[in-house]
Amino acid sequence: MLSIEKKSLNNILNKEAKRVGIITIIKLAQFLNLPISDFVKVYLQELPSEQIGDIEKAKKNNFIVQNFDLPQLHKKKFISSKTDYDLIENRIVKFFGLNSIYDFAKEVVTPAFSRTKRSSSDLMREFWVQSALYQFKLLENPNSYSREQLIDLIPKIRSYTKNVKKGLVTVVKALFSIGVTVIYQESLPNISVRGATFVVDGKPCIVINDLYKRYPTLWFSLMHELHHVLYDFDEIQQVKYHLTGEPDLWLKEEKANNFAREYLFNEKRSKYILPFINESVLVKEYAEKSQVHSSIIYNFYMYDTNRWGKFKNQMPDINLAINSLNVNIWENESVEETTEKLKKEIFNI
Amino acid sequence: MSDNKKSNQKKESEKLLEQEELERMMLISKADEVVGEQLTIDTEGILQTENELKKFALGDIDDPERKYDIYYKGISKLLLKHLPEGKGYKKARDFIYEEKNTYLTRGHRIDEKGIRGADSRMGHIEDADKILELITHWIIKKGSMVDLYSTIRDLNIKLGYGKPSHE
Repeated sequence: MLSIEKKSLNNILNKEAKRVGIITIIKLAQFLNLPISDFVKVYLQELPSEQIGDIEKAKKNNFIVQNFDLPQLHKKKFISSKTDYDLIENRIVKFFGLNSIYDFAKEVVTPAFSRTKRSSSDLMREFWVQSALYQFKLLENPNSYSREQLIDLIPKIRSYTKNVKKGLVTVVKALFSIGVTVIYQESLPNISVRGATFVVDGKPCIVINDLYKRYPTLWFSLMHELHHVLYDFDEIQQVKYHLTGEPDLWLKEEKANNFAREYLFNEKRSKYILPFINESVLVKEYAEKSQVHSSIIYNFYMYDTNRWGKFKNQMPDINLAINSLNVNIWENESVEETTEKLKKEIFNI
Repeated sequence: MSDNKKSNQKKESEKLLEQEELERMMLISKADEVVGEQLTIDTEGILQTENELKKFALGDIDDPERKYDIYYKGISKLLLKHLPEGKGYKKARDFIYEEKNTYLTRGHRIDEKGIRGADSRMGHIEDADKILELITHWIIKKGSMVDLYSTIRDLNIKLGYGKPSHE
């Protein structure tokens, strides 16, 4: 009646069958008048533990493949193998301090990304975001945030651009003391993110990275994100669980970009210095008068004219600025190792 | 939603945007006024800005009658905190206090008997404000004792209060 060989049927009934084909399953489910899914559930319960382990492993490996861009993480040397899933699972679980790999990205966050127009890998971006979020949670800035203090502090930032070695770290410390946590997190392949703003425990948190490996971009990015903190704080707090890329977000990006430009070195100034751009002495002098590092002037010139090679040699070594902030997060065993270093060496907590 | 409500809401949001724009402009123009590094972080990692230093010195002044006294004490409080301690620095500290007191009493230098002939209560609030400004600036700039001394000394000489007696 079932068109199943008697021997096969006996093996199934005696729980001796190692594999049961999909056709047999359908036939048996129909015969027993059970939905296929219920039949599979009953069947799985009776499976030997090693086979269940196999299924669990496949599920886990699938989760890893679905949630992580393994080739890119390997390229960044975050993982040492692209195929040893046990090793990969271990690395990720340890890095984020998770109980299980399934706990990764349980909390979906949507920072107000400063995205460039290039397409980026969602997986890598999510990884980058989660790592930043864990850092902020572990840092737990003890200082209370006040917008008034931030308004008071912002005008004092610009002249620190002139101090390549210590300017950025001083500003980061000062911001921390008024409840604004800023971290530097190295970029990852394919993410096209220049910075991000989060709200963690009701306090603003900023990540800047080195997408273009240029010193002026660090400052531009910081000012851009500070603009988000000042004017998009409530929204960021709310959209924490929403998807990014809404059209109005782009308008906000424009505003934040304009602010960063106006604040650091506005277009009027750029026009003023344009005829003398090749006279480095004059540019330096004007930079001093404008209380800004000359590389920022050159960078805006290169941006405005799209001649990115022209003053490449006028860019200070970005590493001088980020050495003290850069804790090589992707090389560390865990996010906690990173935050412990930051607490001790930068934030003094 | 009624048209009236809609138009009110529109007006509200336009007003908010205008305020934001004004604030942005204020931030940018204030940045143009700032010269040099003005943030300082003390050993406990606490940021000190000029306003905070003043708040530390003055607290919240609610009694205009006593305003000068509060300023006078606030200045001493800042100096006590930021001038080096210890016997070795006593002489240098005294030099600075002498210049500060001369300025605040508009030229009454201490005589050889140790008498100044003027009371701090006779002081002028604008003088105290000036000294407070000089001191907060000096703290933020992380200047040396000599810097502070010579700044006030030069100011005293300029105003005709004379040179310190040890010079």
